[in-house]
Amino acid sequence: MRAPPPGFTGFLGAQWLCAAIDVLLGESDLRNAPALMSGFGSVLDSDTAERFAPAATALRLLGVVAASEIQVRQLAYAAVGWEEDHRDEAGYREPPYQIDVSHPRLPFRRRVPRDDPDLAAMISALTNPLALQQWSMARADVDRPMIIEAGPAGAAERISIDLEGVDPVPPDHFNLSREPRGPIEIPVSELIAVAEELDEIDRVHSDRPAGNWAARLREADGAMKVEFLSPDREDGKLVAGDHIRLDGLRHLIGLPGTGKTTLIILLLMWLDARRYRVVVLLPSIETSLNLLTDLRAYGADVGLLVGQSPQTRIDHARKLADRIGCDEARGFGRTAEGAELLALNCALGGFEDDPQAEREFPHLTPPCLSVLQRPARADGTLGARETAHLCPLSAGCGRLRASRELVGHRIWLGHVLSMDTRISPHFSDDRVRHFEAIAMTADLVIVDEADGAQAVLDRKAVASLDLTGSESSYEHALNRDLFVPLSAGRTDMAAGNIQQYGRAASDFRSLNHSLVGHLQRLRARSGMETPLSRFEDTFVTGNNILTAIFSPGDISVLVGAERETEERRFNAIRAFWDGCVRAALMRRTDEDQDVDGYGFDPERIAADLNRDRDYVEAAATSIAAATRDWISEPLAARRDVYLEDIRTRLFDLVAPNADLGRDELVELFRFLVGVTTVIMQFLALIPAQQAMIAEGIHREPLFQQGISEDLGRLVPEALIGRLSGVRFRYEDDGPRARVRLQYVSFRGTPRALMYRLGGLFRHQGRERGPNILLASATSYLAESPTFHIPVGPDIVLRRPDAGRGWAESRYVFAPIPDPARPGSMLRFSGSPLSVRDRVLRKMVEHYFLGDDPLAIQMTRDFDPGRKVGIVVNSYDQVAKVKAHLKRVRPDLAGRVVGVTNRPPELNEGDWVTTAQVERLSARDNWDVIIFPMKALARGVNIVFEDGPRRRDALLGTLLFLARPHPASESLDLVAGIAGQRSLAFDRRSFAPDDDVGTLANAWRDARRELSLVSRRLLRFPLQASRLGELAIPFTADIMVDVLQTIGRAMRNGCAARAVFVDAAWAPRSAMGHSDSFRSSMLVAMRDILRNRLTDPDPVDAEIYRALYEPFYEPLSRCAGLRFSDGPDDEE
Amino acid sequence: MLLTEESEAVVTTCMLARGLCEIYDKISVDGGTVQQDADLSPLARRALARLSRHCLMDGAEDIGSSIHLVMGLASRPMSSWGVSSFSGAAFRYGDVELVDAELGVPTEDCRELARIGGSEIDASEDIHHEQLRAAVQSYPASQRNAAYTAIREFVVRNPLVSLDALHRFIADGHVHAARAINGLYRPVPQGAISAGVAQNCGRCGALLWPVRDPAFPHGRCQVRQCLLEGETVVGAVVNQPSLHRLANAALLAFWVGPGLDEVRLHDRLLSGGRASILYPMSDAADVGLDGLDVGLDVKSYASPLVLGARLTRGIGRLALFRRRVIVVPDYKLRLNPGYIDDLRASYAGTEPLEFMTVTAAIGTFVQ
Repeated sequence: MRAPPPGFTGFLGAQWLCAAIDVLLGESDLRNAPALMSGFGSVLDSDTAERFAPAATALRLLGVVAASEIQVRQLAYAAVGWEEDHRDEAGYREPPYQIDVSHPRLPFRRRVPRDDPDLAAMISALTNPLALQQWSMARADVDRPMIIEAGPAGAAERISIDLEGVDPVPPDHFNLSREPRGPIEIPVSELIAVAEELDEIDRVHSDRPAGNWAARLREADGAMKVEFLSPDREDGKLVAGDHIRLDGLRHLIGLPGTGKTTLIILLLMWLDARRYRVVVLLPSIETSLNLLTDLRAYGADVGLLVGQSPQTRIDHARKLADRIGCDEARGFGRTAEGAELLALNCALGGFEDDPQAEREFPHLTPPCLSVLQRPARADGTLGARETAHLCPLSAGCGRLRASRELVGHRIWLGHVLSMDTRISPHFSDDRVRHFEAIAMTADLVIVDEADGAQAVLDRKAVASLDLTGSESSYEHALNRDLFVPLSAGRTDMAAGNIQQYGRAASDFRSLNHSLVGHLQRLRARSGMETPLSRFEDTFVTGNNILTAIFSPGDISVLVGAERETEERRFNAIRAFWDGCVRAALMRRTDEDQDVDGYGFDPERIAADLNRDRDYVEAAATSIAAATRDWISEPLAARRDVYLEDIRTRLFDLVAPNADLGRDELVELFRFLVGVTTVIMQFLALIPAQQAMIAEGIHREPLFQQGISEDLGRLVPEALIGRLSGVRFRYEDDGPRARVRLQYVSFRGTPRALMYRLGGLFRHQGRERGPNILLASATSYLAESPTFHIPVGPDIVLRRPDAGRGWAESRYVFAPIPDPARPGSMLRFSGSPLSVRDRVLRKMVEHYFLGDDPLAIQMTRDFDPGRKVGIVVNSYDQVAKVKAHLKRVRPDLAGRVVGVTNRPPELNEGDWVTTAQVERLSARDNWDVIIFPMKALARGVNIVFEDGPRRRDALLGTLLFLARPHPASESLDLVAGIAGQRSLAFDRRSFAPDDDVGTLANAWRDARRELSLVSRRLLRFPLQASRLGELAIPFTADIMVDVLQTIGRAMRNGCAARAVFVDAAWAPRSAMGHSDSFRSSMLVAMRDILRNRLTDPDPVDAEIYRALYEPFYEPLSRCAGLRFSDGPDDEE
Repeated sequence: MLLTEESEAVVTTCMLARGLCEIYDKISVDGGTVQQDADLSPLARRALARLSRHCLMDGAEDIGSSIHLVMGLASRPMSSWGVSSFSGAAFRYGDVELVDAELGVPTEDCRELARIGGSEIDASEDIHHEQLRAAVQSYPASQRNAAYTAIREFVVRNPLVSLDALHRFIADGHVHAARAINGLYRPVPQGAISAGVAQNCGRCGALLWPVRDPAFPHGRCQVRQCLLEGETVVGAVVNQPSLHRLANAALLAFWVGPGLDEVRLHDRLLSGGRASILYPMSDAADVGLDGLDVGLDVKSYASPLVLGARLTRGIGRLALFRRRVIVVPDYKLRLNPGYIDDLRASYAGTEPLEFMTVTAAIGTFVQ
């Protein structure tokens, strides 16, 4: 976070923007400001914007939001409003620009000469690096009384702490002044030397398994086992090199089995010995801990970068506990490497002055930053009110150990999202996040499984949650976690803050029901087309509905003063309405005499609505009062009366659009009240989640906001813009349609962080950042918006003698005849929900009934000794398969292990969490594992632990019972496409003579193109059959997950057998006809791969062949699948 | 410090043992794993926090921050944990191993230590008791019982005491035990102070603690028996809390609370002309009448069945008296009219016992 320069206030952001556009670009209006202020590298690094770029970066860092036309207009209105409000004050100084808000281009005029000293100071502040904002918290003084509060705000218990006799030292702080050392050149011969050193260390420590490092790189005769290739685009081939150069952004492709991880370890040891600072981002904290253990064993200086929010910590601690508890001791008397870095208990709790058995110290939400103490004044006296202080034990407590030790470690290991964590004020005086510290000081950042990291970052751009209407909805979770246990006797859940949460949750529930009931009634009464049809499956916010009610049909036809008046009127209505509803919801029993707590200025509202102030105030308090009654009233008829009351008062104050009929207005208004109250109540509940996790109510956060504000200001805005609101959809299920309600918000292009980290502060005085190495095995597939990395590739690792072990792989399409419907096959995906359970049961019976069940035969008839994996789409389906097995084959059920996110009580070892999966290789009491596809993700390997097949994949056969398909409301594809297009725009180059208008037009075009796609994707449920040409990116994304899953069975170059069971994989083949890429995902996958393997670019074709031949080859001869090459030949 | 560091280490050990047993019992019953999240019991969490405190005071790595770290060490003798509080000669459990890592179960020692220290308060009370007995040993033999009675009665009657009054009491014949007596008290906790003053409880003499509930503007007493007696009685304002001392939490729970009825009974017997003595023979009973003729023990167990079972296991030194009476507070009958009947029915011991309420006992022994 940056410190604002002198004179800067957010209200006047438009003035600062005008100054920069005027002085640095020579433009005189704000029309192109959105393109310039969206943070895209292509714009900022263009010749045209060279002088403006530092100012744009500074303004974004200061929180000036001007990335769309609406935002720029709001910014301008705020500045103009500020002038009107302050004009009459003593000492008022007119800001330097006059902005004409009545003109669509928002022209501005400079009121001062160009060399005005104030203006010069503004420009200087914007074009020089901004200072980091400092923390202003002091450490608590151990010699004076201190208090910590436990429980909800307003009803917290005060716990006094006595640190007498403790003499804590302050912890070390991060050094942000270190500068990256520049390009790194690593001779391969030196990596071999490192490998030999590691082997030497292993010989000394004969008690632990030897890594045989040198033997992984070269043969006994000295010949290399791994080639380090780089593309020679001119000659069209990959050429072998004898060194690795890391300079700027580099993309490394490690083909399966080439030892990407081996290379990373050797690189890290080499870099560590030369005192480089390196950050390695891995697919999970578990993989980070594994690597940390290996590196520590060889003496590397390595620490763990891990998220520090209470829920993140609980989440990691649970996974660690699952790993530790995976044998029959269930963790009793067991520990694991790294346990000290994921500790949760707070040492300060040991210094409670007066411990009470019935009062719990808040260990899971500890007071690291909130020790209350009266502050010491400069004259030695104490301030009157207690303020929050830093805990004095941070230099020694175990809970902060991981973040404390990072200060000194040269190598940091962590997850890509861990970077978006603020450095605690205990360890830095500056308010800065880890990604910023990394961008400033690290020499190299390695992103392993970079395509997975990219997908994770994309998903952070979107935050969504079903509010009601599905089993994954927030309302369902509230019932499951809170209301049901409470009513079933968990009366220990009666703590004050739980009760408070429960009351807010039950209000949320009734507001939800009210909105859903309205939508249902409307549908029942009006059929498919209702006054609200236009809102179905779009983002709906209070704003959209207010626009529909109050604004003229097309505001863009208005010009000049007319437009300004209309915009002011609309802004006033919006502020007024939000203020009234917020007052009603948040202060439920007040009777307001004035509008002090409403968050708007009644004077301004009155002026903009052309009313007098008293009238506005009276309308506001009566609307809030009627809204309170509407919320509390149980009788529907009475509620309608209150609603009518609210409507009358609002429409008296400001007239609705005269073109709308009364009935339509009634429905729109009812919808407005429903949506506004549901969104506000939902947002009010979200902050309490964290406390509820600490109380053990929820196991994990149900809704996570997207990226941090700090990151949002440093990566480009998404081309799709910022959106947030609810989406509703009718889903046909039997005679009545169900209503599904979802909350969604979109912001930013977080994937750009991976590409821009090396120059994140290039416009803030730090030209050079870390070198970036993006590494993966599936990061190159141009059709996949989510996973493709459009850089390089620069380094390709390949084994020259790679066996063609995979050539023995066999893919089979093997649908099962449906016993209930002779002549047809069991189809899971795409079937109605009511049919799916039966299909799944029949599939289970097919593989598990009989004297020698098929599933068990499969452990013998393909590469004997390897086990069988059953792939489904969700944890819920795993549970269904297991439950049915228990009924039909109780004798076998125990040997079929289910992967779950919530192990059942009385688990007898036949359930494991993802954190425990790798340990299954040490057990021999199972034959089959069932898992949802994404649960056994990157970095999770089930391999033979020892014996002649050590490191070979333990899974030999994979049965895909369901064709993978994201949930119909999934936003992954739209997030992927938005990320891909935004990144493409970020990375494009403009010609030196392109002017600002050209840049802005290109931005508008890119936005328009994306919005066509995104609107379509948002409007319709995600169904392959409705996607048209988007079916290719859709399939390509899913294919990467499928290939990653099959890759689990190909570790160490093994052959794999994949059996596609669901008839939906190739429905026409299942009926005896041929499938085309339109009808079958398998054919579409083959086509995508075939296109790539024959890419016209010889280098790309070679890379694609090396990457995908092990999959393409068996897929192209997939048994049981009838390919056709034309589109729907037989039709 | 409330206790000596050695004693604190013992309390921590007992609590840790109890916490480990609880964790083991829980995972054995529900099939879960050892977790650090909300599944971890408050007692285990508190024991870990106390362990952290020892580590930080001893300049050692904080091993109390994670149950897994303790699990990793607990199969080794405590003296090898790297925390000096557990390795010094004064710490009596240095050779104890709490966990059998092979089997993944608590050791016998762990189970036994868990029985000793039911909770932090229990463990502390035992230690205070022990320290007081040890201190009394420094008196001439003939004065020891009287000294025990005097000191304990002083605490029961003065759970909150001014420093002046405390010093006067010590100077008045208890200089031998000055350190032990001071150790029974602590400064008034910050949490009990509001706007610079504290509020005396008008019934038991301890403190009314500030609470958010507007029904109790002066605060509420934390002594359970006092709360159960009836409405909050507001006592005097303590203007200078720093010049006062409050009995330790364990003593408020185990001496002052039950002491309300013990003192009432004793005072009425005395005023009725009986030769009553509090805590005779260093606590053989709560009230003794006529030497070893009658021993009265006040018990305030919530459940008569648990009390019956407890008495069935043994009545301790109450057996020294010819007539043994178990006295229960009057409010027990208000809450459960069948309390005495249930208690009588559940007592299956061989020693003859009488059961009555405080009022009935006064009626019986004051004619």
